[in-house]
Amino acid sequence: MSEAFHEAFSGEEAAYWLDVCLEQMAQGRPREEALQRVPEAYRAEVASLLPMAQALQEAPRVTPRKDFRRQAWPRLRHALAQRTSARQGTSWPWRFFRLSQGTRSSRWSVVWAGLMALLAALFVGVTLTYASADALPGDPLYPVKIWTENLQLWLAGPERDLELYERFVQRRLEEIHALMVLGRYEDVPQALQRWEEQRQRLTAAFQTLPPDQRAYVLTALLQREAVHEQQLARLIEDAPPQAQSALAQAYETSQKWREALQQALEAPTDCGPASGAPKPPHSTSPCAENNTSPHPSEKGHDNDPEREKGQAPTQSPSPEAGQTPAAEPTPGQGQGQGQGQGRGQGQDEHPQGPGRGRGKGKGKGQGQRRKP
Amino acid sequence: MEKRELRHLLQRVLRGDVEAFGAFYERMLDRIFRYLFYRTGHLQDAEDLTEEVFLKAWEALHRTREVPDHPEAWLYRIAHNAVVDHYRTRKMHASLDDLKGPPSATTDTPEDAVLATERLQDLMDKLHRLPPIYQQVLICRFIQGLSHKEVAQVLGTNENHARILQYRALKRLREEMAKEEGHE
Repeated sequence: MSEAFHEAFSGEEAAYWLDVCLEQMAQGRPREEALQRVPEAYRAEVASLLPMAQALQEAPRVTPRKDFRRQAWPRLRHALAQRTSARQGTSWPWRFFRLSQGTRSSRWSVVWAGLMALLAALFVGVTLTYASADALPGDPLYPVKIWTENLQLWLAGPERDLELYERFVQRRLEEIHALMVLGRYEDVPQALQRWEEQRQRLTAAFQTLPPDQRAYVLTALLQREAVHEQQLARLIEDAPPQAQSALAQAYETSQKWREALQQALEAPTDCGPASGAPKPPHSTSPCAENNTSPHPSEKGHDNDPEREKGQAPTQSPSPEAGQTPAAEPTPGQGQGQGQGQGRGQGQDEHPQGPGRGRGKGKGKGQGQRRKP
Repeated sequence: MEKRELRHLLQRVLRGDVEAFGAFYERMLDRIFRYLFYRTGHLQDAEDLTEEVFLKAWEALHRTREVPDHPEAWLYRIAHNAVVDHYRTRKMHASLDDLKGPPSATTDTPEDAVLATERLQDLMDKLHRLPPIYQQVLICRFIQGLSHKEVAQVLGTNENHARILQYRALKRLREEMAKEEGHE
């Protein structure tokens, strides 16, 4: 057994017996009596250490000076107040961070964490929405754009469905145009498919309209559809062979749809949509008589290419409207028939009206305006 | 019992009660000052460090927001770290002249005061020749009167090791005294 090991071992034993002896003395036993309990092998060692322990135990009980005692607490309190205000006065973002780390109560930590998560989600959502605004079919962010449109529909409620679907149909056509410009012809069929879907939804939304509103909307749709057809025709002209067939097909579909709309508009049936078709505006039924206010979508007729060609896709809707332009034509009241002539002609084709009114409109290529 | 009261005071401090910290300070001031005085051997340093220790305690309490299980041992640990930092940043200047007119040792007569001062001077001289860990054990155990369990908490060790450290520190002190007597 090495000397170091022996020393360590004996040291541990001696430490124990020293402690026993000190405890005995602390309990009031005399030094000699306490030493008697220590095994003889350690007694001398322990006895030699007791004076050291005693000297330390009898060390003067020093206390702070009176001045220090008097001044220290006010000084310390002042320092604490400064540190407290420093902690409370830290900059706003740091305090926010500390709160989120849970230095406050756990309830507040949860609230702050939730708030931060909400803010982060909002930030990501807004960024994605903005980033996806110009996305085209085939882009990674395009589904976000579609999702945003669906959300917009959901938030707007059913009463704005038609308006939004009409806007989205137009947007799909713009996307097709953008794809062509960029030369991404492989994505054109997908975009056309989207356009078709959107138009079907528009039709479905149309059928949910009250009968007395359908005539106006139908008129507006016809005009828009004519515009779309023109746009498609231009696209076909510019398209390379690989995209032409899909576009031609789309053009055909669009034409058929417009014809169906036109037929629905001219069919003298009741207000309800026969096989989805709306009732024409010149009907004698009460629903036609209720058509007393112009549809907002008619505001855009001035720019309608159909009008520019001198075509009159719709008629004056009510007998009264038929009379008025014939008797005293007023600006904007007839249907424009030829921009080049400088004057529009109003025409009332209402079969049940008191007379066929024919008047001259003063406006250039003025759109149709109904008078109640 | 005292431990529970100290913990209660610290809990009040965490709720923003500064006066509770004042009460905690009053209870611990003498003990911490004495520890620091024997560790540094310098009156002014002991006073400065005493204030620093309580400030650090307040900060630690608000940083962790947890009341320590053993407030006294916790405060001695802060004091020990303050001494270590003190020696790290400054040269040890335990001028024994500072012990003249020292923090009032509890004496009755001027003769007693002189004797006490001489004894204190002698003891400080010997203590400061020991390694810091031995100083810490001897001061905590014999001057501050902590139990082995409390010393172990201050040192962050177990009771048995604290007992062995006490034995070795006393042995080393005996050797220092023997060396001094040999010189004389």
